[in-house]
Amino acid sequence: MSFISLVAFPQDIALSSFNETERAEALEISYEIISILNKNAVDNLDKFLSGTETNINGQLWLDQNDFKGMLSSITKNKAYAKDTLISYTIDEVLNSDQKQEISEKLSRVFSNNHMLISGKYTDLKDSAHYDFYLILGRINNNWKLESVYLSDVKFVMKNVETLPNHRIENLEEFGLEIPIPDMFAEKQRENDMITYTLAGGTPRDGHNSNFLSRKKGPY
Amino acid sequence: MAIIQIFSAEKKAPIELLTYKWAEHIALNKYRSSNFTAKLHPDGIVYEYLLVDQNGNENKGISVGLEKKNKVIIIQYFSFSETYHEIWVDIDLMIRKLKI
Repeated sequence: MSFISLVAFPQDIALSSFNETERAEALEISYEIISILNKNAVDNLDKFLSGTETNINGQLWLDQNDFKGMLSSITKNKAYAKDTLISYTIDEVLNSDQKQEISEKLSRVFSNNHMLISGKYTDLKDSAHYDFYLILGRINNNWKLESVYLSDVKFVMKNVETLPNHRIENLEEFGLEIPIPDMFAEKQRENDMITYTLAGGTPRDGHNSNFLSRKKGPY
Repeated sequence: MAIIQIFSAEKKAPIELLTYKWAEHIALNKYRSSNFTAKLHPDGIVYEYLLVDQNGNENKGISVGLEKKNKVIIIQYFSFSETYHEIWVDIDLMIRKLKI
């Protein structure tokens, strides 16, 4: 998608541009991945992995071997139902009841360059039913598996109350509390805008600084 | 150089549209875009993009749009790409840990 080619401001916006053939391919690959998970044969996933890190539950990024090891341990003894798969683009998620849930769980790994596949699985130990998501990314005209989310898998993450290298700025006029990285200078107000700057000393720094300070908003 | 700008506006259209408009506004004039990513945020939407200036230098832009009642809050990040590569973890935390 060309970002600046949209001269006219549309009343609606399409962030994703996958066609029906690409969507069908994503579902077909998801069926194959589900078959592999049902057999717990994760070594057969290699052709679906990008070669870089793959994500689990929106939180962990693991290299190929660690990903397969972790996936094998969390997906075994579960039956993944092929007939429950549904594909979503980001536009479809934005217009769905699942927007909040997907945003909270997968905002770090799901974008307009991905297809989200949702489905259901059963834990064979107690017959409980759960939801899963696969996130596929389009790389060199092929779909690659970039994230797996299983709703019964919970990672206990360290709860960081105070962020290192940040100061909490409480901007009451916006109803916003934001942790600003410490290397940015104290806030400056210009009309209704608040600005934090990380200074640089080159001529190019000056160009960018002037460019942004001149900008007036589109609305 | 890196800059974070924060302001609010009336919510006259869906948040993804308003934020896109702002991001597009940043990209117009003197820059051409190469790459564009839209991500979900629990309170809105995030657009990330690379902007190449007239001298071929690459810059990083992030536009975060948040919904708050009948208002939108826009958080705009802009810097050289090399600066962003040095501080992206701090910027990522800033966006993920903000509260409205």
